[in-house]
Amino acid sequence: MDTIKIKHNVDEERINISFDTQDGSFSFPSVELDIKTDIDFNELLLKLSEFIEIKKSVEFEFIDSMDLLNTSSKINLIKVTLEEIYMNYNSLIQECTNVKGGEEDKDDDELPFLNQ
Amino acid sequence: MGYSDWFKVDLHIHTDYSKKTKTNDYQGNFDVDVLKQKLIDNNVKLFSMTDHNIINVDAYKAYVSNCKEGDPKLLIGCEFDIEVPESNKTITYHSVIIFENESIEDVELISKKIEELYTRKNSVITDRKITIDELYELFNSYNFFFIPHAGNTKSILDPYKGYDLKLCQQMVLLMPSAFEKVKESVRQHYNEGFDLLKTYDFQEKDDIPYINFSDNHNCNKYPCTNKDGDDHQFYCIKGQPTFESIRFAFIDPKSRIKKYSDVEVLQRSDNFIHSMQFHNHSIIEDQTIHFSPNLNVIIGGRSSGKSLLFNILGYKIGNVKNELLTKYKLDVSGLKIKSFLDIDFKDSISFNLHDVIYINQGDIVNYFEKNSLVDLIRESGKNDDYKTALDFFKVEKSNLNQLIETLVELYSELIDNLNSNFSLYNKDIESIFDDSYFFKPIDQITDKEISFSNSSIILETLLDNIEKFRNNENFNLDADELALTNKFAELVKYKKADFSTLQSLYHNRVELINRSNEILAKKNASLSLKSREKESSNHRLASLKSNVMSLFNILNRLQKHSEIIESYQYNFEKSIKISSEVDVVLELENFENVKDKILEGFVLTEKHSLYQTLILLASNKIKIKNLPDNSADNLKKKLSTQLKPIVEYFDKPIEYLKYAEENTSKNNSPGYNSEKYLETILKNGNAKIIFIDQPEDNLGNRFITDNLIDIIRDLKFQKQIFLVTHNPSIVVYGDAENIIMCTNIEKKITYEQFVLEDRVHQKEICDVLDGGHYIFDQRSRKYNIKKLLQS
Repeated sequence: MDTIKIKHNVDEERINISFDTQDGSFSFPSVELDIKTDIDFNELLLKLSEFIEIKKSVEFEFIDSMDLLNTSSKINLIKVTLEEIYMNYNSLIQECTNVKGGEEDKDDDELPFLNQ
Repeated sequence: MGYSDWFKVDLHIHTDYSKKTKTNDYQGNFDVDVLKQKLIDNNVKLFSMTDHNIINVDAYKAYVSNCKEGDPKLLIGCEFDIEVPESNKTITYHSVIIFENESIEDVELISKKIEELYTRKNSVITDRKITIDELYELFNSYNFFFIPHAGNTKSILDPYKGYDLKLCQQMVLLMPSAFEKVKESVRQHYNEGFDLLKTYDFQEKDDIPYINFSDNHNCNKYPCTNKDGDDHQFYCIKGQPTFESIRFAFIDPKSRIKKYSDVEVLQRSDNFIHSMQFHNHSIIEDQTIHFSPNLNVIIGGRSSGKSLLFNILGYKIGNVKNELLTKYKLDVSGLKIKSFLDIDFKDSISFNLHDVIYINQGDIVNYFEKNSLVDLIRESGKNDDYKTALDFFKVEKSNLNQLIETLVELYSELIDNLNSNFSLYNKDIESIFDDSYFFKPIDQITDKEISFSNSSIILETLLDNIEKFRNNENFNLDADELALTNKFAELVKYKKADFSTLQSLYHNRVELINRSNEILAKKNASLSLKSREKESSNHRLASLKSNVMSLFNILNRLQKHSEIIESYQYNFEKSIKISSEVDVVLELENFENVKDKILEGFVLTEKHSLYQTLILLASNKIKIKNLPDNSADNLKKKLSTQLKPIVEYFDKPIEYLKYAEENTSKNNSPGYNSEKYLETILKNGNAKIIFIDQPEDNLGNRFITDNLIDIIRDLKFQKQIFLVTHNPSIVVYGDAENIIMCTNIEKKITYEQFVLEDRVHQKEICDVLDGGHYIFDQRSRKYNIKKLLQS
């Protein structure tokens, strides 16, 4: 199964998050996570929920040129939180892929005309 | 059967004596026995042998001497050549003269008079003529009918044409006469001519008698009309085969003279009531009374058992409105009844509700007092329309209840909202602006569970119904239709699968958000105290915003709904067309305003709109009367009490008759309404049998003479009618076929059947009915003779 690569460019005030489907089938604009004050993941979650439809799991990496992950506890906490969210996402994709496979077989049995 | 029934009559039959006075007039050999057998075969009950200007006394003697009971009855008659010398024309017209007399002595006497007249006039036997004056003089002491030809050849009009046709018409009108040999197609023409001479009162009455006889000239070919052997269409008259019945027929031809073909139709009696058998009853004499399929009137003195018979009949046909058990408390289980379709008597006859109109004494006025026209509607066959109209009011009632229910729900929602927290505390403001941070929760996506549930139901129902549709025995799907159905089923299954994917995706999204929120909540919990306080403050701010939005939303809806109720009117009207002239209208009038009625339930110091009042109520600025608090439940109770009269009003809309624009039973007298009610019910009812007990009690005399009698005369040939009455006009002008005379002698009631054409019965009828003599006399004078003579 192809995965979506999520790249995080970490800055002091923001994290730029870009998405790569690796097969050119989808193109998603990047999301900018403002980390100056409170952190709002709503926009990111919206992207992830769209990925559910194409049933692709994600791989992720953090590019931290200023070594902020080690120096800022806030940014590190954000990174850890993001990782947890991605892992949950992948686990959900795994669950629904397993269930979906079973359902598709069943549906095919009920829809003989689709096989014609 | 004892009532007036139809019988065939033929008062114009020749014998071979006509050959003596007219050359070659009679064909074949006359044999009175052959004629008699032919009359019996054709069921002729009353006849006459009418030769030209002569009487065949031998034939009369031969018939009378062998006459047995039940044989056709013979009246003496002769066909005269009548000349009109004043007209200066030599042509004559033929007129059949029928005498009341029946005995052989009278035949001989009348014949002798005729022969003596022509001897005196020195007439040649083949050229006998008589003037109308000579005829009067000759038979001055006799009762006779004058039945001239009025069409065809030898018409009474011929000698009068160009001389004085008016004189001719006047003469015919004044005599007890009928016209013979007038074609159906020219009747109207005759009627119009005679109408010109009638007084105003009678101009609209179509009561010129026309009757055709066989004019048979060959007994072997009877009933052929003439020498050439044309078929004869028999005429019938109503009553007993007597001279008096003919008199009645000529007085009231519309009711008493009909072609046999029309009578045949009338004699299809349906399941009308045929007879009733009284046997071993405590207060009623043993007897069997028969009922005419037409008009039966029940008459008698006070307490003679008229209404009792009316109610016994109602009871025996199972009519719910009869008052036998409640009013008379009489056991009639031993009495038997029979319909025209029954062979034997039985305990009762069943009729459908709509087959019978049953109007008790005083009922008509009660209809208006009770404000219910449901009987009229039912008996006019408009039950379905009535039900539809009532359903309309039920729906409107339900709509009103729904409006009130929604108002209470909105009020309840308002109270709940007002109890919400609308404060933004300073501590929260400070916390919100603090430098610390927290992870904002992920917004939930729109809840789709209800939408998904509805879609699932649609899909399952569709699949189920497609299967039923495919296998239904009544649809008979052909191959193409079946293929189309299968394709549709496949489409639905495809959509079901598609829908399943959509649901799955949605649930995954929700799951992702939930899991993410759990992660964020855990992270927030690990943050500093200030961060956690900031998170809580933000949450309270969001809650405040939500409360405010929710309050605005409810206020907006309450305001709109209050406006709907404030402008609510219940002026509803539904019409049920009973006839082209009369509608029954079901109506609600907006007698009390709903808003005002609601506001009356509150303690108010000044007047406000309903919306403002409810706001004041919800914020406890005003109070609900007589209730401890302003809860939604108490508001509901109060509104229910306040609006009860209005809501209940919807169950019983006002019913009234609409005669024309601006002319309704609401603005007319009870008497007038009763008349219109009866007229409508009688003219439009689908019932086969009509019962009315003493209609004259509620009706004006003018209505009875001008309307009711005409309606009855028309209806009685379509429906069986039973009328209890004291009114001689209804009996005589209504031309009752069957008069049931009730007598009560020493608490023993007797029912006897009378007929109008019987002279003995006439006397007894006159004795019982007030003004009966006068009415009989008036009826005999068809026209205002004095006025006619002056014209």
